Amino acid sequence: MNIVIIGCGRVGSSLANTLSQEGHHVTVVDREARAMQRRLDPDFAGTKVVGNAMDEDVLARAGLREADVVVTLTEGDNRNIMIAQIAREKYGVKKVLARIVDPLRALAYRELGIESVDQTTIMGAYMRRAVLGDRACETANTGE
Amino acid sequence: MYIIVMGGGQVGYHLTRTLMQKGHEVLLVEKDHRRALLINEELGPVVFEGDGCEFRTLQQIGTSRADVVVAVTGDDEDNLVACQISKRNFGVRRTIARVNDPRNEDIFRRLGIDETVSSTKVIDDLIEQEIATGDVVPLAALQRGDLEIVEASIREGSPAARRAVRDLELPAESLISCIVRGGRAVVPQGDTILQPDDRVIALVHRDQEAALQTVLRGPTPT
Repeated sequence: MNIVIIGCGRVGSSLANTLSQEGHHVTVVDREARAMQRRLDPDFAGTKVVGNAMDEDVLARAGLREADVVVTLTEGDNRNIMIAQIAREKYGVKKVLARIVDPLRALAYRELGIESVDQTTIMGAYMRRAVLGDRACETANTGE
Repeated sequence: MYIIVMGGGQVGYHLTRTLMQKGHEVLLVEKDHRRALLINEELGPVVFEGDGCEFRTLQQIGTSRADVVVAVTGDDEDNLVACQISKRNFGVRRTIARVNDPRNEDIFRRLGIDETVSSTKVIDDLIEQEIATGDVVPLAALQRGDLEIVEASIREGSPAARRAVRDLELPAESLISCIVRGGRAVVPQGDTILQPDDRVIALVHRDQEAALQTVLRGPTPT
């Protein structure tokens, strides 16, 4: 698959490394060349594009037109939302995933067709299970 | 009208002040505590300190009864999201976003924003008007810039001089809507004769601006 990852932080770089090792064609976009150099595997086989993904020229350069999937993983919710919508609306990318930290905003944009990954809720549920252990299922079932 | 302004920078501050002077109910949303205090001191209690993209903020400030939401922060992504959520989740009928990167204007419209204002583009247009050496001067763009209001002055020797409006071979998508003659605006009829020193105000499709120029003033100088 042809995958474009916007944002080469910890999550972005780790995803890019894994998908690339699994044989997918991965393009990573980040404003900082150093972030990509530092975090991507030395033998990373994909494409690196340096630039601000809010700039449409950069998105074109990252090959959005040919992308099967776009994942937006920058620091800002609104930034991820905007880039995700541009990918869908302007470049017709079928599958667009966006990291959104605010659960309500994640829900709102899921209704608009952006597959928002809401790390707050996911992390919260994970931590809850870790804290409560076996009792997590019981209390969840009683609806508390 | 109840108008919510998102972003208390220079643009937001002056917009809020103007709207208040015109008697509207205005609320300015600003994240920065010090900026919020400063504006409250100057304009009275108009600032709500918060993030205009947060549902809780939008609920607290009664967004659902707002007539207009105007997002004028310096970040396009924040303006987009504030307008989209106001519209979709709070039913605001009219949303206006400032676009800092003029290339975002088109995509904002496609994503449901009712009106976009690009300060860069407004300034560009003004400068173009000032320095335009061509004879047809754009005054304003309508409908995302496809239609323009232009002005051309008729000179002695212009192809349109001393000819009736109905005899001009105007491009299909153009309309002479006003003639300014000796400081007075005249609504032209078919038999109105264009005179040297008349200023013609016309509505024209952008693609046909050059054709209109040719009819009124002769071919565009190159």
